[in-house]
Amino acid sequence: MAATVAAILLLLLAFVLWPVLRVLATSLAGPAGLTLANYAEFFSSWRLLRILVNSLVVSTVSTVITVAVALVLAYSVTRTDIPGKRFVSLMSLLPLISPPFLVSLAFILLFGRNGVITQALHLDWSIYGFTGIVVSQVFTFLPQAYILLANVLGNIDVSLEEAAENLGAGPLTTLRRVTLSLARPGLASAALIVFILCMTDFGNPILIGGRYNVLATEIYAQVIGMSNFAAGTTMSIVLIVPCLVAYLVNAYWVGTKSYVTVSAGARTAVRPTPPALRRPLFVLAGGAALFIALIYALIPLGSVVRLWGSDWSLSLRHYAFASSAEGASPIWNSVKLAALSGVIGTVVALAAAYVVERKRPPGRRAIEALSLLPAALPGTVIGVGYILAFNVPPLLLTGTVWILVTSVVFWKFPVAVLAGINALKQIDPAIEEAAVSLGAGSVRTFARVVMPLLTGSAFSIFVYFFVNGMVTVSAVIFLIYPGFNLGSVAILNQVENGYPGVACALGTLILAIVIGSVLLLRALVGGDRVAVLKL
Amino acid sequence: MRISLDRLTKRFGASTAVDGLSLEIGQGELVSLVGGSGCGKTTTLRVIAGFERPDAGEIRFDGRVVNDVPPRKRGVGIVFQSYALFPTMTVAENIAFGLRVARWPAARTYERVAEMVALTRLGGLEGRYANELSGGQQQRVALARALARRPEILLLDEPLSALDAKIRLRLRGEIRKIQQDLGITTVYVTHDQEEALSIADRIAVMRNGRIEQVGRPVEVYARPRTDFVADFIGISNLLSCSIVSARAGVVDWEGERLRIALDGGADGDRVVLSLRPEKLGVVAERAPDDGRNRLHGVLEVATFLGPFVRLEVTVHGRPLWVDVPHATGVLLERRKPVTLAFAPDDCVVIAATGSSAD
Repeated sequence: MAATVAAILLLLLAFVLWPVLRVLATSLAGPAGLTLANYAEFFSSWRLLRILVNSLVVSTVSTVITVAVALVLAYSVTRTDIPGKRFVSLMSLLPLISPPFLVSLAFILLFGRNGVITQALHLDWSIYGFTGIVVSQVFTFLPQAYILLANVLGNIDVSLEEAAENLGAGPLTTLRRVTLSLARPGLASAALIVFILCMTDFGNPILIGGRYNVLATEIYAQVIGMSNFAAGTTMSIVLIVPCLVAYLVNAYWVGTKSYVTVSAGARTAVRPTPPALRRPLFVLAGGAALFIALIYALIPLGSVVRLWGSDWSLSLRHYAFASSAEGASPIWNSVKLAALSGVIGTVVALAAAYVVERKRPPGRRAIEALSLLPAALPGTVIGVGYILAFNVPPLLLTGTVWILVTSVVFWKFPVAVLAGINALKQIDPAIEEAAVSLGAGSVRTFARVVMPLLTGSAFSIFVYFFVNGMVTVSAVIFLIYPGFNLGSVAILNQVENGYPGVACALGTLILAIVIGSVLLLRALVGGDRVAVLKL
Repeated sequence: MRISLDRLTKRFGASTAVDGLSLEIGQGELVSLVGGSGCGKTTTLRVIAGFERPDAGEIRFDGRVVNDVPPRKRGVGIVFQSYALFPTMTVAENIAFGLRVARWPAARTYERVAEMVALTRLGGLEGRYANELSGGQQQRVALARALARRPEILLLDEPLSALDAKIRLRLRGEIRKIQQDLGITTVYVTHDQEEALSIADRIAVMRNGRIEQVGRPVEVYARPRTDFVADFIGISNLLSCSIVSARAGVVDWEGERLRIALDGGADGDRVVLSLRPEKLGVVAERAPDDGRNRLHGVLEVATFLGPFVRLEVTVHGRPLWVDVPHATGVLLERRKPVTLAFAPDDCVVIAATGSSAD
């Protein structure tokens, strides 16, 4: 067991801490040792300060709107009896399993220079820029806020609402003074998490940002475009700070303020919704769900239209992938990356969860903190850090698939470890003690007693890594190497090169593979055992 | 305020939770609805509160039909099983909630909250939040909140079920005292028959959405009308007999002739005798005949229960419960024969319904 603990700790030090330290070191390195010159340069440049402000402003606006929309959707699904709740819930979760910038692509198809609506209305306006980033981020990060709020609202004891009603409160008073008041910590938490996601978002700004530059994309431009690691790493650290602050506030302050207490006799059924609320909520929630459905219907549609915006005849020519030499190989590379990340990530995450939750060795705190740290790290920073950390021996990984696999596994590690810890918490330690008292050793106990109880969670974690391996872009775009492009990056390339149809074809294939594999796993292990993929 | 429930029926899908239930509750009376889980007692309470609409029947408060009055206008106070205290508000804010909603002036609200705090002995806890209170304190806040607006009806849904046995006993007394001081009409739902017997003016024993028997606790205990009630309220030995002679008051139980106080019935009818464990005595095998019925059995188990000893005695292959004081003068030894005795009027005759008794 000590060997396992040491191995996990070493992996985390190498693949989480070391890249971050390399980024920090590079940003502080000058010709004559340590220097703050790079930071001085950053904060004295109006252009760069402007980019920082852009990031903060666009993230704040996106966060406020995302949380508001998620609140309406989560409230409608969990606390009302409007029709079509299942559809609303399904649509609210859909962006979770798609490449993070397909929403941008859909908005470009609608409002871009050749967009359907732009053309139909003869608009002299296109969506590129601030507006584009905001609307895309809202629908991209909706699921994260939705899951959190649905969880908080869904667990409110209906007796609380009944008590308010019994004491004479009308539906709006009850909503304001009781229900929403209970959801306040959840709202704060959702806002902080979405803020981090927006700050670190790379795909949407690069596709639809136009000339509205944000830090995440500027880092990419500096590092990959100009090989300016000094500027890139400095901006990375500047980007990490607000994310880390939001992460810490959430983890150590908001997170401890949950009001959700499940007591004896608590019921979570739903009160009949008064008509004054029912109709507007139905229109809002139903409208939002339909809009998401439309966004995702546009991608396959765009893939079978000959030339979007001018020739609407149906065609399968985009699936020939003739516009690039690599053809469809990026898709298969993505599948390979996703499968490797799934297997390796599941094993390492479960082992780490088991060590943290059950074995509690010395160094447990360090393992836990390092496992969760990536939640505050932008994908671009992971990308830069991995380039810096793994292009020299002893860990020379650049140019191999392993740098991609480790980046996916360790960047997406926090959610997987938390899922593992939660799953283990559900298992009574007495079950393991019973096995040990009957003479089973440590390995046998884990293999024969614990592991079978974790099957459902293990599959969920596998699916989580697999999906992320298929759709992630921000870290891996730094790490792909000649001859090994990925599907998600290829979509970006195709849009930039003016082939939105091909981008749609690639997006459709990725969506199909992801949805297919989720359904296949559900069929294999039973629907209820594959928990909804959270975050 | 009087409550009349008139042939109430409430269905949930295919199941009928309340099935044509009628009950009159007088001004200032405390009636306890008691029964096992799923008997419809909580649904009945929720129908009175207005949270469920009955599918048939009427609810009347002082003769006025309130079926269509929404919960927030019914003017009833309710204490939930989970207490349902607002976790974002302090004790004082919880108690004041209903008053604020009703737009009481601040000064009166303040005064009333102080009164309720005093009534429920919550002094000093006004600024605390629910999660900083003990279970008993939370229960008292829930009661204070329900009573603050001076409702004329109080509904209590298993108010003590989440508490420790000792606190339960003390709070039971406090609730009863407050209820009597205020003279408020109260419906008290519980699954605990002992709690129902001790707190209520009348108890209504419920089963399958219907009232099996309603009456003063002492009546229901002493004169259960059905074998279900006899079995549910307290502990009963139920003996399935047939009448040998209705005129002479003789029945046959497992081949044993028993003299009992029969009241009607014809020879050959099946009846069930309900015999409370404390009505059965242990006598010496050769004790002189004192007019009591004698049963000969074998002692299986003797369980010490503090104030008394509970014996399980097998008679004619059937187990009987017998409660005896510690010193009976008779040697109690496992697997040894014992002789039981009961007087003809110590048992209650119940018409056989063939439901729960064997």
